Amino acid sequence: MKGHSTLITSLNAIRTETELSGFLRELAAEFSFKGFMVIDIPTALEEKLSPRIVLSDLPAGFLKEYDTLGLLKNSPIFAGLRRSTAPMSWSIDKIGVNRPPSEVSLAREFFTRHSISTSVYYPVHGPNGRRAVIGFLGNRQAPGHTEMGELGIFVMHSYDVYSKLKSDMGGEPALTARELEVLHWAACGKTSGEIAEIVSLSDHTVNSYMNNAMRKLDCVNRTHLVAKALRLHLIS
Amino acid sequence: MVRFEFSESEYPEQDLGHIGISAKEIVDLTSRRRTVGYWRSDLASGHVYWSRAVFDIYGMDYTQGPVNLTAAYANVHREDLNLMLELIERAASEKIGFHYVLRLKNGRDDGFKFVRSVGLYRTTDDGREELFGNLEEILERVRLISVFNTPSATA
Repeated sequence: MKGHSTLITSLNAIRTETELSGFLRELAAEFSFKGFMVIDIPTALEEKLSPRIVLSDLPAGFLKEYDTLGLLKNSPIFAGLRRSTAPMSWSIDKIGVNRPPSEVSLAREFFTRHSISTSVYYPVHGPNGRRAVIGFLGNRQAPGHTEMGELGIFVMHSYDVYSKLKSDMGGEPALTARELEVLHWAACGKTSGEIAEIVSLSDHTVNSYMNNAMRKLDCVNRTHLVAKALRLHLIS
Repeated sequence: MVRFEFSESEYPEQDLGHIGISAKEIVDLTSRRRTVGYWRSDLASGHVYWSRAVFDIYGMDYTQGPVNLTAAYANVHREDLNLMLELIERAASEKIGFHYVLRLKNGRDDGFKFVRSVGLYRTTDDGREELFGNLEEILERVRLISVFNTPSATA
């Protein structure tokens, strides 16, 4: 394996998502994994993993079949990732743990067919608090603590590179201070007229700020906007 | 959150006209057994309105007009809040009903109580889009515990 400093150097030279994918593919191979995934952690309400995949070199058929079989809903890994920030590992021997009995043989057959017996997952977060996970899957023995630690260092730096790439590309548009202020008062139950009086603006300007916030957060109405802003801790 | 689902089921209309029970009387009957509150959310304005009983369940002082959601949600169990907000986001954006059971602070000791809410989507005659529904405290668990704590129930 290349020295750590050489790998870190090559990581710092990455300028595109394609180059980052190449790096992660190389990293996976160095640790004897078949492939990698970078995933925005799905919510408990979601039923498909594919829309959450940010980067991956796993075969498209693998993810499509995973979703067709509906394996996300009861995945013990993603349930664990929503509750914890600690790295997690999985092996096919533990497939019966926390999965409904009706899904166990289906899941075992699926992973066996794709030669996946082991996987490891590292929760990561970006500077804006966005939570994701970088996972490596393969057909090898479960890594020990030392290997997990080594791989973890590269994972942290990789996601930092990814976050910087997204930020340079425009990433998620931030709400302005005024937009957040207006949104906060809306969540407190104030009408547009009341908000206008509180922040010394016109009704028209207040509505304009709310519409901007809706557009930036990709919301279809103010109820959607308030709930999303609270969930993302943009307002409290 | 203990339970959630998105509701699209349709139920057969209850033919209560021929036995002469009004909607107001139905609400009164339902409220006799337990505290049930009602709420409405105007999707366009983002404002939510509660009946008095919902304020009681949340342990908040009654106010007229739109509810202070930041104050209200401070009473939701922190493990349930994000899921509840995701559910509301989806219901508001996809315009569907829902049903959840979650935990609210009980305002007495540092414990929590279970509440259930069912919400439905509708469009009013003047074209406004709304979610509306009910909220009730779930008391069965408390009664069950009290039954099993009586000496005669001890094995």
